Amino acid sequence: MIYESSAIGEIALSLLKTNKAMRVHSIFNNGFNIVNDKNDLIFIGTDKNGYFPFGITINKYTMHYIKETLQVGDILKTAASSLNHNDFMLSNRNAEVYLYSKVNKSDIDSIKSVVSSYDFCDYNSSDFSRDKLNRILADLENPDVDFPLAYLVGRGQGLTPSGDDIITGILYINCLEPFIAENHLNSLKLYIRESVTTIVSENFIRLALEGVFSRRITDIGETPDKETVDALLELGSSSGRDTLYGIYMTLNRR
Amino acid sequence: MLYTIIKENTYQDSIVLMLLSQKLSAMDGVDKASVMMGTPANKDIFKGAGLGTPELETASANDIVIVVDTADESKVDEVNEAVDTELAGGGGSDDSAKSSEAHNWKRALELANKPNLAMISIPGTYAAMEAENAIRNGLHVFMFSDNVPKEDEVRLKELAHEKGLLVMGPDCGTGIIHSVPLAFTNTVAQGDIGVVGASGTGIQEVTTIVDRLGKGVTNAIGTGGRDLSTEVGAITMLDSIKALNQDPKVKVITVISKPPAKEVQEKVENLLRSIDKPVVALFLGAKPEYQEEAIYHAYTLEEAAVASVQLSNGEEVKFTPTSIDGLKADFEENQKGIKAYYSGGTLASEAAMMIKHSLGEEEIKDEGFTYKSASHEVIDLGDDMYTQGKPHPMIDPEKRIEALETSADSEDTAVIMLDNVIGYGSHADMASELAPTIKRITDKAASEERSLVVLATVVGTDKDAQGYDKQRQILEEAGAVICDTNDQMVRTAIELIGGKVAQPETEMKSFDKGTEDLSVDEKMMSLISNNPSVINIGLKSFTEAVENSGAEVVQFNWRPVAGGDEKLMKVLQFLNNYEGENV
Repeated sequence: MIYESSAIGEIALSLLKTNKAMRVHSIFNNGFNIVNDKNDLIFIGTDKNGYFPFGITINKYTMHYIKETLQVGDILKTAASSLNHNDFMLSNRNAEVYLYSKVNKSDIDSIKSVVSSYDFCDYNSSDFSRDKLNRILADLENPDVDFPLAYLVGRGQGLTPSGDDIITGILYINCLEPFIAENHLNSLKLYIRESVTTIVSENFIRLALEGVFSRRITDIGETPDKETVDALLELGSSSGRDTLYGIYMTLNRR
Repeated sequence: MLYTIIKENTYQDSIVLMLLSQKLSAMDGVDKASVMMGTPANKDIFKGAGLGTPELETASANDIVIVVDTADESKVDEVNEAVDTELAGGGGSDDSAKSSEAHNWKRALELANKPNLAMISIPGTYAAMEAENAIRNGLHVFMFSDNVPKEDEVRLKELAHEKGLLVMGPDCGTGIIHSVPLAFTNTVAQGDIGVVGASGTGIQEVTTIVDRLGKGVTNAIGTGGRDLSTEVGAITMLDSIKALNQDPKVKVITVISKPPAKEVQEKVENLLRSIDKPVVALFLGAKPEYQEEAIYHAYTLEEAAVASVQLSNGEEVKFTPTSIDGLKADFEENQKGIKAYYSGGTLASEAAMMIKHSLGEEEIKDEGFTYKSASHEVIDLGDDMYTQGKPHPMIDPEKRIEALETSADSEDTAVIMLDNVIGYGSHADMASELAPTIKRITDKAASEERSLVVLATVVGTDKDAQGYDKQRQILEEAGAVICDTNDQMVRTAIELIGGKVAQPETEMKSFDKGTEDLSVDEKMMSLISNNPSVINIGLKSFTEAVENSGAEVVQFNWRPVAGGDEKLMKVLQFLNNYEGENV
């Protein structure tokens, strides 16, 4: 079988170019992950969760059929134009390439005003209360305290634990308006390499540290309105909202 | 008591894990349960909730960890089962996995019983890739798909040849493998004549004439129109000839092609001269200049069929062309045009050749015509040019009706020629579609006291679903003059306007016997000596013909994806919708 992808992120494309083979790491209803031996990851899946810099977008029918044969541990031979599995080929010949420029720094006030209208009270009864996050955010600005993010990394449910999504939100605002002490950013870079969270999260955070975010997040900076924010909220089962909470808390930090 | 279950390297969306936690906690006999990824932070949460266990510490960030608090150890199995079901996708049913149709190679190969042939009719851009998959899975390939780049054809055929496999096509419309009809094919009696041809309707015309003459064809191998090009080098034709030569059931080998490049023709003839069985060769379009001991060179399709039958009967070849005489026509002075509207490309080529060779008018080069001169025109309405966004004229009468109307009104038209190719893949009753128009134009001409002759020929056998005799009868009742073969129809037309088709004068020539290696791979022999077990990738209507003849077929539901070939997709859609109503 030959399937076609419709879009491919810049990071995914460069991984395909530099790796001859990648391994199926995990399979979900809407997609699957492949990794190389350094745990660099490509997410191949439907656009249900938006476009990712390390994503390859396929339609739901393709995913349905791929799932029939795919098993964790399968090897896919990779080239820029295609991924080859024993039972199918995924062609990128007609895929649109998504480029990820570093986020621009202009619209922080607009983002703040849009995001302020959302309510995150329910987080107060979770591991990620307002007080807890405010303490972490304050510590992030202070180079002389211990690494404050260990609490968040890998904390919570699912593919990208909530704590990691919150970190992504914090890092996005930091990109627009840097406030985190350099030593903490360096610590985070090293810390996530220590198998403290899922591979998927690790990749998200690693790229966020390089200023690369998924489309749904950068859309907010580019067009700060209710529509783009709502689109982020739909991401994953709670990932989008967790990310937005990170953004919200960072913009409103004391 | 705490029990820990670890699912290594397993993932699920957080919502699934949360629901799973709730589900497990709600189970009878379970006091508490939690499901989380085994990250260090989450291990803290487990511990904070009183669910810390020694096993928990061994879990990694990429494992799903389930800790269950229960007094009843037997509950652990139940929990484990629930977890597995949930992680496998919520136990939801996957209907496609249960169906007898396949969506991928793995499934198709599982479902099929020792498959040895893939029929491919998906858009050209993907066809080559699937053909390669088929070859790599050890299957012969029948490629109905067109628009396959020539370099892909060369590559596929070389690959197949290396592996002892055959690629029929691309753009192969017809084939009979061990009496199993493939694609657009007639039901023909079994027999000792083996046919290999680079043209679809050429094979249909020859095999149906053979059938009507009381003999049969067990294997008619289509090679695709470009097989005899210099680049492809007749790979499929050469392998097919060798296979037919090794088949003890084959007495006569009949080869049909357009005149190929000189070096390719030499290659083919060299092989033909190396074998001991009698051969009939037709390089349609050229006048044969000589005959030779072991090879009978035919001029027309009918001649090739008749010669094959005579050789199979052990007789000397003696072809006497026929035409229908006694037709009354009183054409006006300016009425000397023959207008032919074909659905079969090779039949159109044959008509063009005979008109060109006999009537001597200067040919006007025009892409839309197989042949055009001041008075005459021959059009293959099945050409890509006319089928853009429309079904093939073998299944859609519209274009022909249009052509009939226009040409009948044209003052210079004397004779109109039509073919009606029946069999698998064709319209269920094309004669009835064309009949009203034939009646209207002949009636109109009669009312204007103008002579107009409509000639028609039906390509088929009495075993075809449409009914050979019935189709002839309908056309005849509408006012057409029915000819037995295309050869006869064209000769009749030419004679009606005062011309005559001369049979080429040939001299006897002798050649040294060829010394080609005649060995054939076992897989090739197995293909032509047994009912094929088919994996059909694409047009579902092709499975019917295969099933009806008792061969096994597994439908591989290839999904056309964005960027596919629109033309073939439309044909596909049409055919798939069409079969329910007809045949």
